[in-house]
Amino acid sequence: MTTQDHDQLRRWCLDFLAQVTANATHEIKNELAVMNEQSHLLQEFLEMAGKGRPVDPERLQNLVSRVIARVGQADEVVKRLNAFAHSADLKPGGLRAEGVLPLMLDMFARRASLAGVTLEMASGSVSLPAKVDLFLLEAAMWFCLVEASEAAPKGSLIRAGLDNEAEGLVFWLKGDFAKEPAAPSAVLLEALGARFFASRDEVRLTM
Amino acid sequence: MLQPNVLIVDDEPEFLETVAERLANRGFSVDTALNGAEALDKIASNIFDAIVLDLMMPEIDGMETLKRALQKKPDLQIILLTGHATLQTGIEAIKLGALDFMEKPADIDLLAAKINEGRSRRIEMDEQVREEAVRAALKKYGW
Repeated sequence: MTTQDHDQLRRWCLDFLAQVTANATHEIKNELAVMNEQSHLLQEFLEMAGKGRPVDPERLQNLVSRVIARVGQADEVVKRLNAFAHSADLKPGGLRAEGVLPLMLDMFARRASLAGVTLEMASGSVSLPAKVDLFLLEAAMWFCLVEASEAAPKGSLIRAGLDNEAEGLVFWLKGDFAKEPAAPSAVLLEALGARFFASRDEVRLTM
Repeated sequence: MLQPNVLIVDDEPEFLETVAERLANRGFSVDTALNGAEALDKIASNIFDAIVLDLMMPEIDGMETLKRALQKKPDLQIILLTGHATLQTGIEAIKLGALDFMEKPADIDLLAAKINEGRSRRIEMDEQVREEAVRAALKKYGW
């Protein structure tokens, strides 16, 4: 790889990191916005009670439960981001990586929803070959998901899988695409040691 | 005096429900829509003093809903709400004709004040239209 290729790869990785964190912070902000409204409404009810106006205890309990549920949802977003952040810590080589696909699909779910598509996970356990860099794999998966969701008509379903096949580790997406999804950056594919294939109904990344 | 009539548009049902209740507690008549398409239908068949519109929504986002709504009813007073306010998005929204652009979580009393501002502007614009119609009629009959 040339110096220029390394620079390009660095920019792609930064772009991936930026998109992932922006996506997660937006999700957290949405949860905070709901919690903010619910907490303030609770406060308003308590102020009314303080002025002698009757308040339904069941209504208060319901509001409190909903705030607690939202805290849980926000925590899930943080946990996912944390799991992603620790991707780089994981030791390579024969590592069982069944968590990679569900993590990436969960992290992409909001973007998919905004694009009007639904994601469905189709595969089970998988192990990562020693040569595959987990962070670069996640970056390539993300960009494949971006292109596939833009190529898929609104309301459609995209099935996703990560499998150990005879030719190597394969990340695939299947759907009814309006056009062939574009490939991730060539330097990213080269660094990952991956081959890309796309058609109107499938995307395959083979490592 | 009639209650100010506001439409809140957001794809998050709990946010929508809670903001609607808090505004209703402040004397507003509130209608809600979960997406841009539903909002455009309601705008076509109702008169609202102001619309509070979430920016990031699936299918038709806030900016697109804003554009389509103002094409049909240029006097609409629309306040865009977003979790990530940037200067660029704010400028774009105002250029397209939004009344204002606020970041979530928005202070409910500031939002209420902005809705009331929208109502005043709408009434003023309606009065101008009526005055022009009266002048045109008077001119037509040579008065």
